[in-house]
Amino acid sequence: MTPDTFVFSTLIVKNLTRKNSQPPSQTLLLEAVNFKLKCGDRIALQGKSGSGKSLLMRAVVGLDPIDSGDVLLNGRTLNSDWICQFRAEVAYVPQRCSLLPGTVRQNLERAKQLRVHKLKVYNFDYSQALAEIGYSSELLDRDVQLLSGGELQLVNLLRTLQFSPQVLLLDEPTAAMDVATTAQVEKWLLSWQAADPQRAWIWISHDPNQCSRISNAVWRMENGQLH
Amino acid sequence: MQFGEWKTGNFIERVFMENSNYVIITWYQVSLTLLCCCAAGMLLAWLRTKLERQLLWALTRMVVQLSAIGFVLQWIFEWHHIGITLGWILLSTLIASLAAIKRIRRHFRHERIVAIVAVAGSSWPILVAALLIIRPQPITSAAFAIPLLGMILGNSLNAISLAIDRFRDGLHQDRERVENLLTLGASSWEASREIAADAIRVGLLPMINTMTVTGVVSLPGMMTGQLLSGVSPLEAIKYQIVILALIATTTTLGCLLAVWLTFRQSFSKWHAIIPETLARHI
Repeated sequence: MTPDTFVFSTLIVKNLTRKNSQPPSQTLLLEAVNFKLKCGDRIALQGKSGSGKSLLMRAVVGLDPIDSGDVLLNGRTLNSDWICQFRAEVAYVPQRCSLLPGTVRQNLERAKQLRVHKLKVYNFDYSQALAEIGYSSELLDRDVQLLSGGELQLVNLLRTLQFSPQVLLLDEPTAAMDVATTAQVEKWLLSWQAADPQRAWIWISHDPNQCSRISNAVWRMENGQLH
Repeated sequence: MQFGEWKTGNFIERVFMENSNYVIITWYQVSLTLLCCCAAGMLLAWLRTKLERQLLWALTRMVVQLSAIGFVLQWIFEWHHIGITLGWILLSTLIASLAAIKRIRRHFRHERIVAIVAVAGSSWPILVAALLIIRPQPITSAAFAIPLLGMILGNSLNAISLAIDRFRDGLHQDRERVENLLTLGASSWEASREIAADAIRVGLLPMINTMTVTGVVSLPGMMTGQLLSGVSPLEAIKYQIVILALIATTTTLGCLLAVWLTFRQSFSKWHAIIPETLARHI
């Protein structure tokens, strides 16, 4: 089985709603959010802090509970039976990353032992990917405890992209990186997306300039509503 | 004395008869030891440690509780009714379960049920197995089952409490790491397996430590009690080995069961951590 078995066409979110569960407040954190992400889409998601951007991404991949709504991948409604396979194809990359004790390489390799990836064959070259971003492959043998916040984000991207997901839900993936590294990562991700036109992403960013560089459409989130 | 010869009701009299060097303690002697403890309390008061009240309160509670339990057990052993024995087992299991869950810091849904199932599921089968192996006469002997269960419960509730607490706290501390693995397609078990292993280790460590030093650093309470009551050391160690083996088995089963059930209650079927804020409402 190769990682190319799955071919992405659409990710549809229908009426996704999440109420604030803590009484007495019954405000809506996500208010009937609808969107359709097609293959090849590069979407930038903007909005004030607390507007519900991260919550929406987490809800789409089932990390946060929802009160109502549906998520459909290639027309198939997401349910708990295939959530792990879904996450392998629709990869959410959180802003903050926490790795297991050990070296970077051990963390990258260890993820391959997950049941959902175990039987697949991946041909991801860590050294080449790092070189494209301007890093030496020495990073692979560094202890994760010695990594900066930006390097942790970089390793998390490597760890996710090695499985060739078809959709990326990126939650400020360069927030802790310097300007030069950010530019390199953007370039690297754009070339990664260009290598397979089916691939798509939703990229949360507060930087309008970055949004214009990495996206072909901008969505805005406000008070739990998507505009 | 053989296990099979253990008779209910008049067990204490049998010990008197078989062990002529048994020293009967009078209430006068008991009160003298309590006075010693009061003297220690006065020393604390003199040093202004403000601990004397706590010591006296604990001492009073201990005396009242033990006296009460002494009378109750005397009545149960004399009555020798299977229903009363079972009632006692149910009640003590329930109290142990609630005590186990009371000490955890991070609460979760159905935590009381988890504790009850873990405590009962680990101690009851072992109690039955112990009764079948040792075969006291009669096999439902309250004088045998009740103290045995008490020792098993006392140890397993601590282990279960420690294991549950460690798992829940580990999940809270490593939430990001667990969620990072979940986003890669890990199942909830794959993402939290290391936390579970650590929780089981923490739960079992006191029992393993106790067994390691037993007989070298300290003599266990039950063995000490038997030696003081005149039982020969070779008989006492047999009882002690049996008890420690039962405790080790129950503790291991209890920890495994408790961590497994806590894991099941900590994750939704969507392989996501159930937020603590929602834990009480689901």
